[in-house]
Amino acid sequence: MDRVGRDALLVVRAQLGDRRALAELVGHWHDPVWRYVRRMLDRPDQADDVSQDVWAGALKALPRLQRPERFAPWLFTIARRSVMDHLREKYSQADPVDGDGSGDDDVSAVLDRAQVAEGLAGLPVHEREVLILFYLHDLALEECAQVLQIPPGTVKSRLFRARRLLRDSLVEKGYSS
Amino acid sequence: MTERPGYTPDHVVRGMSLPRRVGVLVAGLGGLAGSTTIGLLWATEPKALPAGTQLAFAAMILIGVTWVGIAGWALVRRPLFAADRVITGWLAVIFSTLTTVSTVAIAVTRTSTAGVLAAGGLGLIPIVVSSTMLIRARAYRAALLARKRDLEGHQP
Repeated sequence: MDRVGRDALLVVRAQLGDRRALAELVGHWHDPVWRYVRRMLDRPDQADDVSQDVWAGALKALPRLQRPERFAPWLFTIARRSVMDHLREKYSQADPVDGDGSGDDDVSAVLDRAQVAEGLAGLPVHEREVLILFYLHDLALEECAQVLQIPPGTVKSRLFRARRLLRDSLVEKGYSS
Repeated sequence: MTERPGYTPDHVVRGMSLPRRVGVLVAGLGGLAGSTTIGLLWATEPKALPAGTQLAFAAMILIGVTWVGIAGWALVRRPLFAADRVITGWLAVIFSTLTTVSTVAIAVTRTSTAGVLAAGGLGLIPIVVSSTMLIRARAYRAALLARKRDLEGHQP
């Protein structure tokens, strides 16, 4: 059974009131949610607080989830909202706006997870989160679009710009492209 | 990045066990039924009660209302799954029926026919509301069970 089917069945069982299914579902997504929050924030102690808020919100809303097969994007939407609320509280400045970059590039070929993780810290929030969702959590373009609430085309252009920024950042740190 | 979360999945689902969730509901509904019955007994007493009895009744009503508040707070904060909704529906039907029967019994011994009819009429409202809740909860659970069977059918 694939990840989507597995999650859908666990969600329905949890919605019925099966605590073991709920525990299994949380077990599968506990680390990914924490890692997403951790990479979006600066400090591990904040990651614990914010990711626990994410779970509190997700568990409370779980009985109302209409489409169990969309659990992962739904969960990351909640996580993203919590992270953004936290960042908004922390920095009162405006978030960077989207560029209109387009087209393909050859940077993705040289990116691996370790490099992505190392270069993420210096990226703007929007670029950082699209890389985290796409590369580190293996969400599909469509799922990233649902989480970020933008069209898939904008996800592509944001990924394009994020990869370029990441490449520049890595080159500065001594990695060769 | 080799850091790990400072809490476990068990921490996340702590407090979600069925007996714990149902226990809160029973306490809340019991508190509501108890305080309503005692309040009605007090209100329909033909003579003024001794001060000690009044104090005891007031304390019991306060305890009941406090449990209603605790249960309401817990319900708002915690998820209500299908099993919880069905159990809540049954408990609400049982407690509202018991409360109505006791209020009608009190009315029969202490008031006129109009009072009995008023008590019965008012008591029907929570019975109808809780019965509707129960019917909807059972339909919701049945739909989820059908969905579960469907998803299990797609397992390799």
